Amino acid sequence: MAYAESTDLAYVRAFDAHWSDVFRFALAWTNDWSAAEDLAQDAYLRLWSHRGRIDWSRPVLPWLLVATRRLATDRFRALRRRLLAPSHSPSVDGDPALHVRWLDVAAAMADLSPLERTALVMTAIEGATYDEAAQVLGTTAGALRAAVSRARTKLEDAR
Amino acid sequence: MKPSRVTRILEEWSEVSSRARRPEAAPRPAVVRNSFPVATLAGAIVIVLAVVAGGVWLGHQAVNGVVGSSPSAVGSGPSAVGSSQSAVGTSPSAVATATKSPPAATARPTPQPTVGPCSPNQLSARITLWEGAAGSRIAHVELRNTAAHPCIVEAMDRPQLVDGHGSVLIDGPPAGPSTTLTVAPGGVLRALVEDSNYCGPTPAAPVTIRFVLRDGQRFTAAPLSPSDATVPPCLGSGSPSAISMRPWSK
Repeated sequence: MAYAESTDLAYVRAFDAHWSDVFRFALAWTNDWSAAEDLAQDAYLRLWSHRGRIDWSRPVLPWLLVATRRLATDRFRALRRRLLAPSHSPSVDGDPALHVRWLDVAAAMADLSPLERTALVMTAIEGATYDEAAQVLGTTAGALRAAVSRARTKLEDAR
Repeated sequence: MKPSRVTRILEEWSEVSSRARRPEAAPRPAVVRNSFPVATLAGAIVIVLAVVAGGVWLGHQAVNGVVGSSPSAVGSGPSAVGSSQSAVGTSPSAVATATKSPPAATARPTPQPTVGPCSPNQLSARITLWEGAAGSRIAHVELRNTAAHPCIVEAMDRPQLVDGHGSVLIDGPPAGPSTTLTVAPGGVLRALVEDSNYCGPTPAAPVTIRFVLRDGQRFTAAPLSPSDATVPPCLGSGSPSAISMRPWSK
């Protein structure tokens, strides 16, 4: 079962290498720590179910990010009401101090749309180009550039 | 210069989100074992028969008159109990079989292999992410023990930013004594390496991180990509460049 073993190993490697990237992408999109953890988990479960059809010789991160965005979009459609309510997670990874910091950051980012937030995070923090981010986010580089610009303006103007 | 509000928010976002704890294992769907329905059903039938037959048998002993009103049930009792005992009888033997190994292991303790320091050729390092922060770049580095046996690494090395020719672009401070970690075969450690203020010419790709051990041995992390030339922005040629690492951790 060399094939099964190799895809299994590739899956574990993808988890080791990219879980943080997937989580941060989901966090940027949702602005919700618990939802981001769930999304990252679901994205990997989707990767697991597709592992036999994945071309493992190519970078798998874009696949994971697109899957995460699609899952997030589906979830937002289905659970918009729940997600619009305040997060009930008692703390971020059991660290109250980190939780407080997260609440401040989340509040600052709350006025941005998921696209604006994610576009800004991908380009300004993760170092993605506009083309790369646009591809993952299913939009054009022009629209992405506009979203980043709007995001920056909103953050600067918010007081 | 005071960083803008956007920069401050993004830096804080990056810092907080990078502290998310990764789950210990890659998620997999819950698997229902194939043997579950048959084994469980058979076991359940055996147990139900044993309980019913045992109850009937005990009832017969205690209140013979009442049970005597249903002879067929009483008649089936012993055989049912007999069959259940033989079936149940497999459990103790199974338990006995299962518990045989630990005593044997206890009786013949396997010698503890001596765990030595990791040799650079059994370590595989790679950069998994470059993060941008104001004035600096942070490499996420993953270190894997590729050998078939555990080994020990020191938590701190001397990090160097090197270009595609192996030339040192930014040199870190020599590693002093630090704590050690034992890495299991296939085990992974992670570290962050932050560098800042590179004002030299555009380096040859790929730029990556080299780690120099205290004994002078070294290993180099595989770059993020063959064309990667990530260097920190120049903050001023009068200021020193810097590179430092956070300790390797599991």
